[in-house]
Amino acid sequence: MIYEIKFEAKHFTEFDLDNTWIIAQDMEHIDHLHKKTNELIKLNEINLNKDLQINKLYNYIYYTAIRKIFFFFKIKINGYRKIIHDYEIFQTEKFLFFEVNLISKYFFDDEFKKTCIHDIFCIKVPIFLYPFKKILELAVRKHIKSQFLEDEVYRKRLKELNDRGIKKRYIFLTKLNG
Amino acid sequence: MSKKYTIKLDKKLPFYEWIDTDKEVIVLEFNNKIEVIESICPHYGGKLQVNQNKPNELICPFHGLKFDITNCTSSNNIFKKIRKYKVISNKPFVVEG
Repeated sequence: MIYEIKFEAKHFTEFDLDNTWIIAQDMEHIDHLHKKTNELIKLNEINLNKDLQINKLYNYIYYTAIRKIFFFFKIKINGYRKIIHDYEIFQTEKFLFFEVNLISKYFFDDEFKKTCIHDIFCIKVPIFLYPFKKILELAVRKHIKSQFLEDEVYRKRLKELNDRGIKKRYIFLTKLNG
Repeated sequence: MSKKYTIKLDKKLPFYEWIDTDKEVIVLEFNNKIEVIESICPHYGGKLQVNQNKPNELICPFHGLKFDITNCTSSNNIFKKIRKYKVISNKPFVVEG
């Protein structure tokens, strides 16, 4: 029997939607900028978007990663992420006993006048892990909060460069499979 | 076309300086010499910093690209080199590049 733990998180940033979107798609910075919460990430297959009219770097990516939970437990995962709409990513990660599914939406929030990152989680767990649902939720919330704050540095840097007329096109460092 | 830039050495090394609208450098001391090196990572613009684990390297905090301070090259196939400015005067401190 599989149980679902569902929750949502919203983070707001002063920085613009387009740079927020690029950083959201960039998986190669995860084990450098987010090394407190990630030991390693390896992109195994990248299906690139070749249509320049569509605002996305790729269609989907298969990856493996070593996540640090509560900053010290290391867990190896297999992951898959797909850009499902403009400014919307679906991601699923398989841990040993459970699976974390996430839909992340990026938009400008008219009420708060800021860019919003809206994460919708569904963690699928076996019955023996269900009593620990609050701990799992807390671990995930800490993980994304930490990454959000570190990404603010990245967003700030891109804004600084853009303000000086420097705009770079993102190029994958991983050798691409096709 | 190379240009000359005057930099005030009135801050603690290493420090960053925008020497032109689109040119940022890191000014650092290496082997008892002051070096002036481009600090915008050629990959995606990260602010290159001295690698705490290997002081002869600059490292990008975003994606981990590394550049040797001596010859300003990396092992990456696409982003091979960053610019090092030539010191042409010490008082005032002027570089060219």
